[in-house]
Amino acid sequence: MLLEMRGIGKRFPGVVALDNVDFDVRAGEVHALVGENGAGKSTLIKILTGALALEEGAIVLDGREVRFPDPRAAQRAGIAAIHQELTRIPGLSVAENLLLSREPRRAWGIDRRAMRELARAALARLSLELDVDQPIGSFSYSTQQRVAIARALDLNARVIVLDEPTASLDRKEAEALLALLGRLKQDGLAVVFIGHRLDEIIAVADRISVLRNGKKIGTFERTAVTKLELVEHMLGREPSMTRRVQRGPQPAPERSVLLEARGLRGPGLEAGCDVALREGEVLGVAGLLGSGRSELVQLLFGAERRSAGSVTLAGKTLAAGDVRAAVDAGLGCSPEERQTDALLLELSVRENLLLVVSRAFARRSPNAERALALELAVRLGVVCADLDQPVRSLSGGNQQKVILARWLAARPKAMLLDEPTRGVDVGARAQIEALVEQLADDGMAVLLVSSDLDEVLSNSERVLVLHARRSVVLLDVADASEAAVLEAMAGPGVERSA
Amino acid sequence: MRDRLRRLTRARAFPAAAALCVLLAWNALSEVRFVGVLADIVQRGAPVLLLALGQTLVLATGGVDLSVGAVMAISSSLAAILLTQTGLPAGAVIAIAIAVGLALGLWNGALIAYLRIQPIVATLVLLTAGRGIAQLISGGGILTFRRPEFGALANGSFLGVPASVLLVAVLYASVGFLTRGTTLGFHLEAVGSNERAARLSGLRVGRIQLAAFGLCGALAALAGLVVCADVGAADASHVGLYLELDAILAAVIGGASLSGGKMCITGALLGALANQALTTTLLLGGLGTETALCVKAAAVLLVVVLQRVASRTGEAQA
Repeated sequence: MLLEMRGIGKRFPGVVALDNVDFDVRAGEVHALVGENGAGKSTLIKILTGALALEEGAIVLDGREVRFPDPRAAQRAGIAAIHQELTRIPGLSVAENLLLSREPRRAWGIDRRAMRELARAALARLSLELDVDQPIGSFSYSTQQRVAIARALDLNARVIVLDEPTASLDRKEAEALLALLGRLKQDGLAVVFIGHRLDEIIAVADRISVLRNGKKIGTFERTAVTKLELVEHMLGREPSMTRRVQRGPQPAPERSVLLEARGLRGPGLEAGCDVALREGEVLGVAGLLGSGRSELVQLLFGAERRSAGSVTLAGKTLAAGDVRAAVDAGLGCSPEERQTDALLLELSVRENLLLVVSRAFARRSPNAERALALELAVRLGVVCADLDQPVRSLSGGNQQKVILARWLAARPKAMLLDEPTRGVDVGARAQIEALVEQLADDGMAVLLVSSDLDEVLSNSERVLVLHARRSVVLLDVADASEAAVLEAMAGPGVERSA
Repeated sequence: MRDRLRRLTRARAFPAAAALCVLLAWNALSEVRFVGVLADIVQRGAPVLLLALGQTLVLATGGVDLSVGAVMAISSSLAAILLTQTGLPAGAVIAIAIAVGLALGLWNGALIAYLRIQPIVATLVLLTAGRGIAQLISGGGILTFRRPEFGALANGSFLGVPASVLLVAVLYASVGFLTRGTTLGFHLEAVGSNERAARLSGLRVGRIQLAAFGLCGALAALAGLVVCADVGAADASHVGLYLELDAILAAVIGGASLSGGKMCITGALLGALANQALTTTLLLGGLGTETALCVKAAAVLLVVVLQRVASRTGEAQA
């Protein structure tokens, strides 16, 4: 056993984050760690990588007990973490990022030529060929992620911890990453894989450990466990959400169009795009990463200024690039990037819930605010100890519910949901999907963007498929098989490398 | 009870409050005329108290206003020239000077909200130009005037309470109400915490920034008036010099964060008072200005370090 964590415990005031958890990983295996948000996965990983202090239990590396007072110590011992939010400096070149703080030096300054060579050699281990002088920020997320892995290998990492590495990847990129993990495994590395997508985990992991509420439920050989069993272990209850919610195919042309865009064009959306969202329907939007899905949402909402076309809500034309006008007309938007685009991280759950409904210079009434915030939190099932705790301390699923709740408080006519279940645990995901269905039944028009095709197909009646920021295909879910949508996503003709 | 005590000691303004209490206790024990010292602290501290109030609003939005000292110089020169060259009543002069301060604050706000210039750069423009403008208004020299009804702004009293104490009390109470009693405070913090999220939630971010900088400018103008009313003269090249730094320092001692998103009006009050109390105590204690400055710097460092420690233990426990 290369690495063992024995009897790990961690307590925060009022919460037992981890209770006597054992976890180990061998050289040459992928060990997946799964669990709902709040199960303790992140805490365990933070302890392993030195980001949190070890309080109870022991970490044994190569048969010797070790202690990591800080992340650098863990890194020196050969444990590297690749987080979902990649740690890199976008403006610096690939080579500079790879060799940051250990640049080859000459008599004075940095030996640029040696640095390039070292960088190319490090990338070659992953069969990656890049122009190492380009700023790393100019490459796609998946390439940046590979550079991060290359850096970890170059630092002689023996254990690589990947925290939801496929969350921001499209299907093809995710497959490529899983293949890469297979190769790392063959090279004798130990890989710890934290993920939500069980299909991927089943495909790549040798063993799977399930955490629930800070306790380890068990470690399973991949061959000895089914997806359904894993979900049961994660939830500790009958997995009713694995049933696919199939909404009846109701084209319902008699329902009136609420949100309409014609010839919409702007940054990230090159061809004029038409959208007609009817009241009481969920319109799915599918497309690969970079196909313009999120850009479409931003242009509809006015977060980005459109360069051509028109957007009307209930017959009222929305001014270009004017979020306030859209909100006043009855449009709400839950953006893809929760942390940067929606949450006031340091402020309280209560304040985050009230952000949209609070009017400028209006008199405040603490009692009414508390009552409304409580009502919203209960309605959406936001789990928190105290409405005055910072929203930062909530899990991803609860943060997402806070964002949805703040918009529902304003009673919008239409909602744009961009990746509403990304980074959200299975339970919260089922709740959010049920909520979307409920809202549509109540007459709200919902645009649902998701990189998870299953989610789009099982929750919407019609699907808008974007390809390469240009072509748009509208399909009825009734006659759109997964294959048909995939084909539309891949785009016409031979150009399948989007 | 212990919980309460713990929460109290974790409050960001706690080190400032503690420092103030220690200083006041020291003075109460060693000075016979304690009430006099107390009034003296508020009276001398009045300009920085007013500046810290405005600076707190701006810091909450994640901005900073470096131009307040220059705005003080403009408002005092303008007031002096109006008092000496025209027959305008004191009330009108005060109103005009405050209106000009408001306009200058809105100018800063417009540069930041609409031209997207960084606050430190935008207000640096006015910091540089402001003192020049003040000298152009006053003609370069020191303008003196004898207008008791204007001087009352600093030296008058009402029912035995000095006017400057009243002025500070009224303004802290009204801005306190404006920020806590209405959504303004929440929106200032929302913009400071995450400007993009605030905009994408339908907040009119530009107007909120204008409000913060506008109020800050108006308060700076008032601080300038208090200074020139106090001495009966306006010196364009010295009024308010470096006071923007004192104001930022006072707000920070009071628990404001330069990265925005946190506002505490009481903190600004305590910070500015602690700052002035320390200066007064050191000078009364017979220390020379040079030594006093060094001691003061050490004390400020201590307060800020304490804050850091308190917030860190608070975070670890959260």
